[in-house]
Amino acid sequence: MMRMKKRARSALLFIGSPKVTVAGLLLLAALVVWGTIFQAGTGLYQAQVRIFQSWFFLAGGLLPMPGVLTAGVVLFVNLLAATLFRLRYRWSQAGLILIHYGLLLLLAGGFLTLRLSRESYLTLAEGESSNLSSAAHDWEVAVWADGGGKKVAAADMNRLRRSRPLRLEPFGIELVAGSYLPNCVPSEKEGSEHPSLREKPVSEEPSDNIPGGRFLVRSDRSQQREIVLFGGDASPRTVELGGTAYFFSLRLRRFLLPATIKLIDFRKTLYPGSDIARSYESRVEIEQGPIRRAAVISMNKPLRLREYTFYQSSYSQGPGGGESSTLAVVRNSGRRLPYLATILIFIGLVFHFLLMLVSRSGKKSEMGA
Amino acid sequence: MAGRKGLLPIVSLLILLLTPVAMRAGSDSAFLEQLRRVIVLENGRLKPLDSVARNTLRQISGKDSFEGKPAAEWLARVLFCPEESFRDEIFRIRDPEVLSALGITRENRKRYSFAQLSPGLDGLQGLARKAADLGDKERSALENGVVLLYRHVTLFYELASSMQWAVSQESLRVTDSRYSNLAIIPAPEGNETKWLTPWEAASGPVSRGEKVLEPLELLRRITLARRQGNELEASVFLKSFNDRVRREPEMKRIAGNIEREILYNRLDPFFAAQWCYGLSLLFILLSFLVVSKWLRRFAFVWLIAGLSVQALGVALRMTISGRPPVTNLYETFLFVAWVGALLGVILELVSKRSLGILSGSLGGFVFLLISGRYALEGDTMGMLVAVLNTNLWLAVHVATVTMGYAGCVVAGVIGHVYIVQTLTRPRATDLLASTYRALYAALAFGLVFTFLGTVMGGIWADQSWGRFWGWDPKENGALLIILWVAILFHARKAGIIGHLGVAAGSVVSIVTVVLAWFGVNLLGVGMHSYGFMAGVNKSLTVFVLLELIFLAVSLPLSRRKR
Repeated sequence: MMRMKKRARSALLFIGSPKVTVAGLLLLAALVVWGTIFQAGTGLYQAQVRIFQSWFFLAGGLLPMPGVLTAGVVLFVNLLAATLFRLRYRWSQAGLILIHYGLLLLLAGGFLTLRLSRESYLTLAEGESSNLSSAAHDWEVAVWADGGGKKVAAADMNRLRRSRPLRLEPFGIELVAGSYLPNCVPSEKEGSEHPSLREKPVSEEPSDNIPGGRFLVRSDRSQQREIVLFGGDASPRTVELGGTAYFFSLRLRRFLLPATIKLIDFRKTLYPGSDIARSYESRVEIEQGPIRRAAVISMNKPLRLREYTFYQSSYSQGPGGGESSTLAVVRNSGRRLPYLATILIFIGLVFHFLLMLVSRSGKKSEMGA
Repeated sequence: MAGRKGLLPIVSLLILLLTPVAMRAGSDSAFLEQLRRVIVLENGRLKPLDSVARNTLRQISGKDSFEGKPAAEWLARVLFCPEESFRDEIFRIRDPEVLSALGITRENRKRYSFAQLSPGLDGLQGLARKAADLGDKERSALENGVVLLYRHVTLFYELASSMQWAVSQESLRVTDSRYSNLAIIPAPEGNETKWLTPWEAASGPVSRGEKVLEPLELLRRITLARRQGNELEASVFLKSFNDRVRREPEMKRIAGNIEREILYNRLDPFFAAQWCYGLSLLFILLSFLVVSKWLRRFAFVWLIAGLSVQALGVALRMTISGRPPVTNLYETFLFVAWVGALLGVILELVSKRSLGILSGSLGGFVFLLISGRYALEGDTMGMLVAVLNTNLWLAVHVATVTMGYAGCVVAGVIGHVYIVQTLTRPRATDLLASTYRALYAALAFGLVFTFLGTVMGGIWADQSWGRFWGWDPKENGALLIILWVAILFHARKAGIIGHLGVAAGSVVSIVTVVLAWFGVNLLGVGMHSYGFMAGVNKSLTVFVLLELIFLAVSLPLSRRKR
């Protein structure tokens, strides 16, 4: 029993040892270099999917390599073990202890942010208002019924593609994905009832891809219809089932916002006598229940609404001179963690180096040995 | 360390230092003095014409004077007697292939005149337009050269045609405003002031009235007087023009800044500081050959002088631009040079072993040298794009992270010294231990500040566009520095490497810093990339290779010595 305990302890000490730290850091450094070079050729999104936000990836399509998430977990476990079993909890170590806890919090915060935060976009023309934002490149199938009021059901494409039928409860119908093309263009065939889709090569830049596919719609009364949906369609497809007309649309995923935002005015200012932009700002009106208030969202000055933050992202000008503004909407419930972690680490660093100075003035010991 | 004995050399050297500045200040003619003071709106910034002259000449010819005379004198010729300036050999052409492409005979010279280039100008326009249609990444070196030369020729030609409307009375009636960028006539419109070029003022609506017509008439008289060689009359009219422009109430606020910028140009503080660091470096290297207390003192005094002159320059820049010290790539070089020199001074005061002087003067000299090359891209105080404009976090982030860079660079220099010492004096354990202590402290400083700076960058990004970290190449670069230094510390703690390993690792950390700092800009992706960086690639490759060769040669030798 004693021996087992001893073994477990030495295993834990090894897990928390600086050797493991060096290995983890070297792995992470190599991945960062790799990802950065990869990014220059293939674009940020692919680099994120394959290296920066992955557990494992195939290098050159052959060799399995750990991704940044794996490196992060190795370092987190190493740090945790070091914090719990290696650090000596004395006043003289207070700085180091704080730094380690801060780093743990930073890593955990990074992981939480990756899992919890969601970025979407809200594009409004001047005078327009909305309480829905859309994803940058995630798609969904939305369904509503004739005479169904404002009721809309939506099925996330990522879930739908896993071949299980998805139930759209309010309408009592099921949706099954048949063939699905991540990037395609419609091509009308003579004499066919459904339009057909022609596959296009998938672009590395996900927002360039417009998907489409063939779907089966089933009602409870075992009726079945096939529909073809395309992400670029301007109007929804209609299907009649059991005497009710249903409308289907393949669109970018939408998210309900905590308020309705109305764009009053968008303004772009240039430095005089130049085409260098000085500022971009959107004057908006926020409607939350009975309360209405005005706000200005500009570069570096976002609007915060609970765990949502609205940033000035881009703008466009229509042919008639009317402007529209795009706001990035970020929902991140873990956004305070990095701040807290930074404060802890900062205090830890100050403490550590002050203590080192004080102890050095007492005795001159060789550092780092 | 300078003490009372060091006071005499300090004073005498500072007097020596200030003499050329004082001499330069006194050599202007009245006309040139007034010409420098003309207020111009260029790329969104009001600046003295002196700056326009220097920036333009620097861009075109790679130097800020022409045939030893100030840039303003060259500009006076371009503006008022352009025919004479057509023979000035100012167009620096780095790639001789550009000349062949234009069908111009290659001659044994670096710079060509407008007249020499003019047979190829039609061809240049066609080639430049074609090259401009390509993306930055797709252009070849030759196409980049063509685009650059076209930009320079246009810049010159616009300046040369700025005052041409005044040459004959008829041109005053010209209605098509010829293209020129020299906006020097303020025209109040409602609450705002629009700045007009002489062409716009001459062809614009008469309703603008006296406020525009009066300075325009003065400009015409200046041009005519100058063309007739009547310098005195021209300078009297130019003074009236400057006074007239400054009479507008809102100009009072700007006028002070304009004078300060002229002073800044005249002092050229970073060039002076570069000299000081260079001399300091020279003296400290000499002191290694001829052991002398005095040489070391001289070196230290010059280091302090460089630090002070540079601080004055940074302070002047801050008052002129109204911005924090580091807001663009050029200023990061200045700041790293300065923090590097400061760390050197502190280190020298603590350890007194010449190590601080060496690393401080070397860092200061090299980075000011690089900053001088970057200044060739034009105005170093250009306006900031919206996302970089006014944010406390950004200011603190950039200053902190560049301090981290400086720490790592100083550590790298000391790393070299440590390795050389293990070769030349392997038995001097005391000396090696003290060098190692300095190395360790600089590396720790670098780690702490790079880490804090990077995290603050994350906070800024979170405040500005809602993501703490986005795997942008510049962010990855900073992360890489942190990881590398952390690897060194932990590898040392785990006993994987010894002192020599830490020293070698800190040499590599300079490479990491340089790659993170502007190597990633060469990748041409991400929001941190700064555009035109031709030429840097080669120097960077050479630098990295030299460092690798240094390590490959010195490390095995050093191991054998122990």
